[in-house]
Amino acid sequence: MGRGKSPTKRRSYEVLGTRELRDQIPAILRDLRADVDSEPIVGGANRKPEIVILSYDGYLGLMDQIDNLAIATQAGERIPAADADLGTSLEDAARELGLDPDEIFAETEEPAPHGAPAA
Amino acid sequence: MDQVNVTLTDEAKADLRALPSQRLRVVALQWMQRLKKSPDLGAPLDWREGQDLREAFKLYFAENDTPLEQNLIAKKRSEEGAPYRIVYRLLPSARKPATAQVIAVGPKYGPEGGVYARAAKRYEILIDLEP
Repeated sequence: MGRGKSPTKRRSYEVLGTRELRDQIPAILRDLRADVDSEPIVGGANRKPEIVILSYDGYLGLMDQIDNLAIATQAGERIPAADADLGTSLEDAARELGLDPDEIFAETEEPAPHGAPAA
Repeated sequence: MDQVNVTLTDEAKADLRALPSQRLRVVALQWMQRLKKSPDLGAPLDWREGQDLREAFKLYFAENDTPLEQNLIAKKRSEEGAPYRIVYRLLPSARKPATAQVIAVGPKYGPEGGVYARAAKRYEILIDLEP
């Protein structure tokens, strides 16, 4: 995969120049106050994307989502590890001792004692 | 009660290997097999070696045991008559167990304090490692 390519398709934004940004700051603030989920504004010198403006609530929500993803990833790593920490299964422990689990774990009928009447 | 998984810690596996005969290893494993259907088969422990083992259980075993034979009449045996012990705990809880984890196996008495001393040390470490 080439540098800068992403497996997911990235959304493209219109990039505002610094002068446009400066001029539009009041309108941008007004829009963000009206709708905290409105699209972020991207800007930079010579229309090169350098900064992103989004509502404060939108930013906090984004941070929460990142935290949740990080926690989910860590939990996903821990759950199999926790299973592994429980140790070896009984069958594998028997095999490690050179024993056949099918043989030693087969339940048996107790033989009738000597002298017992035949059924 | 649903069937539970039975697992052994690495130390418990080493204990099994250290048992003096293959017959004892088989008997111990067969008792553990019975735990699958009857995780509450063991007797609850209490404080041992300064460690709270009240969440752990003990099973007695001896070389002439036949744990998987379907006995209609239970064999009566004194505690002193069974020199070996299996110590395990139920996870996530004794009330709703999914796994019986064997912590220690071995003679009740030994040069380093026997099976309960080992179980107590290991139990403390296991609890410390838990998240």
